[in-house]
Amino acid sequence: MTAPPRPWAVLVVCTGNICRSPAAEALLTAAWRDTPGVAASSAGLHARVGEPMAAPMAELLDVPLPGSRARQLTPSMVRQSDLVLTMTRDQRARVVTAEPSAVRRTFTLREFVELAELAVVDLDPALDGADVQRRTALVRAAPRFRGRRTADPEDDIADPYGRDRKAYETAMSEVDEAIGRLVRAFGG
Amino acid sequence: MGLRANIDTARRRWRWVVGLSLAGVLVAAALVSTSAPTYRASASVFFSLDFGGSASDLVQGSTYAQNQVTSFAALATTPAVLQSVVDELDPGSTATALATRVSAQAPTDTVLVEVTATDGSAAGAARIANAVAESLGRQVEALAPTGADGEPNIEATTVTPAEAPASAATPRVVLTLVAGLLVGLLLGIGCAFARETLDNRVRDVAALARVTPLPVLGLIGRRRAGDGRPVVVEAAPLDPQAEFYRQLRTNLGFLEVSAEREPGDRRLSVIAVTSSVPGEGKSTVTANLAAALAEGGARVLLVDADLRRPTQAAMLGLEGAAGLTTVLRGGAELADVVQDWGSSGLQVLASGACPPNPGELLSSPAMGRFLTQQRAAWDFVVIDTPPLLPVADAAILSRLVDGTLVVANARLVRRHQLAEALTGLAQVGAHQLGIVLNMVDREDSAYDYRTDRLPGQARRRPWRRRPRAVPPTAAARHAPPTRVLARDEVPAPRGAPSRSAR
Ligand SMILES: Nc1ncnc2c1ncn2[C@@H]1O[C@H](COP(=O)(O)OP(=O)(O)OP(=O)(O)O)[C@@H](O)[C@H]1O
Ligand SMILES: [Mg+2]
Repeated sequence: MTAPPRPWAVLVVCTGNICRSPAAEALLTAAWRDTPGVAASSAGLHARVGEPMAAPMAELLDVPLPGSRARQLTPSMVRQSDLVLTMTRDQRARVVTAEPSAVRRTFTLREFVELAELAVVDLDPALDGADVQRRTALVRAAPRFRGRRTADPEDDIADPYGRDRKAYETAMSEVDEAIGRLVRAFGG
Repeated sequence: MGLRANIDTARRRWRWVVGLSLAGVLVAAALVSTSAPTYRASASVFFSLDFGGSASDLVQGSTYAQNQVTSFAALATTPAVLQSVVDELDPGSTATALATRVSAQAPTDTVLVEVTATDGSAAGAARIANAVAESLGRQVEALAPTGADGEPNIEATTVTPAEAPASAATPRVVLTLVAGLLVGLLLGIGCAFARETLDNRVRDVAALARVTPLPVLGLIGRRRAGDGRPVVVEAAPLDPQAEFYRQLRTNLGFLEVSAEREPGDRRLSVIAVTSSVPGEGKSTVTANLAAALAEGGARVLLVDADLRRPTQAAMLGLEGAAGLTTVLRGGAELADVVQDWGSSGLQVLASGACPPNPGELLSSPAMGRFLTQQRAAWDFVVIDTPPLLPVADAAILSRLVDGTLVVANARLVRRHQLAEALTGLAQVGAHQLGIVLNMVDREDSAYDYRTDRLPGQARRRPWRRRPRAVPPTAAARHAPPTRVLARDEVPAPRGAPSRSAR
């Protein structure tokens, strides 16, 4: 197995890139601290470019904040990612509209978690551990399991921005739960 | 046929029959509960002639009395008799008013007069009957000729005094209810048959045969209400519903294309699915047919070419923002935007963003090139389209494909609509493969289905109905809908799909 020239990249996308997606990025980065060859980043469809993570969200985060500030999503970011995770189905459509060829590796976060958990059962056991091939196989297999679940509003994580503390807590706990399951599905 | 058709009608329209029968009973019950009860009591008066003479006199007397009692009965309702009753029982009333509530009759060959009175109370009815009987006796005695001894020679005896009846005479509850039920039932049956005659939908294969000689390639029963998984072939492969689509797949295998799209290639490969009007089930049939073909090992591309109201992406849980329109305007290669779906290797090309000019896009050379390329690349390309009557898209597409399947929804489309749609297809020179009758009452049509035939096929089906499909497991049938479908409902994914053995 030859190591790929660049890390296996997950791109998390939301609207402003100051609440949901940086939280997901931070959680992924923390979870993969000791996993070589993986990278998480985030961007926004209408990014509040240059802003740091929103304070109420940052307070809820119990891992180090992401290094970068809010940045605007570009098609090339999508092209260079192996997996694109959005917070809502609407954002998924926007990402795919911007970069149609990403359609097979773009999911909403919660949708992907469920699909990955279904797909992981059928995965070739030879591909164990947390290596790149296994992650790639999982992302490739996930869409096939769309027939086994019903896409619904539960697939979305609502934007807490500008709302009360409760909304932030909900968003953070939803992101946290999904990222936890995602990391487990990817094998650590 | 006649009896069968009648039974079918009754089965289909049972709501009318049941509804109107119920209505009849309800009306009857309302009548019963709103009408005040009346009671009826009878007293019998016996008349004897007293000649005090010989046996022959007695005989004569009795014959005389028999002749007279009819008159006595008539006398019972005259003021002569009733006035005294009125005076006694209800001085405020009149004899004429009382006459309407009193009747009297003389059973033939007797010397009896039976006086019947009707009143709002049981005791009142008895009291009136007795009073009238008594008054009648007195009047007859007074009117009768007197004998030699100065006594009247007719003697009246009240032999059966009236008693207060235990139950009301009207309303007659049971009778009224039964009458209401019967009237309702008849009305219901009448309406059911009237509706049936006026109904011009394509109810079954027989009704379809009157519209078109095209073969029926599939009969799709109604999916259970509340089953939110339209692609049964994937979601519940053991469901009888899935079997309907496998039959459709099998029947397609018996068809041949009439023209060679490519030199030496007579495959029936690119299939458009359309219908006359919106909502007939095109998209559902398209997805299930594609899934059934893929399940059979073929390499299948499902294309959503309904660029006006695309539903495949939502139905399959895919992302629809990239798809056919993306490819047609050069935004991506097919290989980049085609999506893997399900356990059989089915590939789906969603619609992509809806363009402002779907008709132009579909008739563009790019679309023609696209289909030619895909025809070469896949065993089957199954295409979902908009309905025929509102827009021209499907007619345009029908010329680019090997054949067109027309979905006819037995509960929706009118015969003239289907006829019009088929005429339109014929006019553009489409190759019409046949009809898929959707939402039919399968039990009813199974027989017709078996005996219908394809052109050029032996009369008795090559596609004999399989033994009844394995019913879904009890768990699958009764499990509450869950977000993630049960694992045991899906067969293990196949190996890489191979070029089908056609
Ligand atoms: N056999 C069936 N039993 C029960 N419901 C059905 C059946 N076929 C289709 N339906 C339902 O009918 C509705 C319309 O179906 P569908 O979207 O497939 O129709 P359509 O012809 O593609 O409509 P449109 O013209 O809008 O594209 C859907 O809700 C679908 O689930
Ligand atoms: Mg449709």
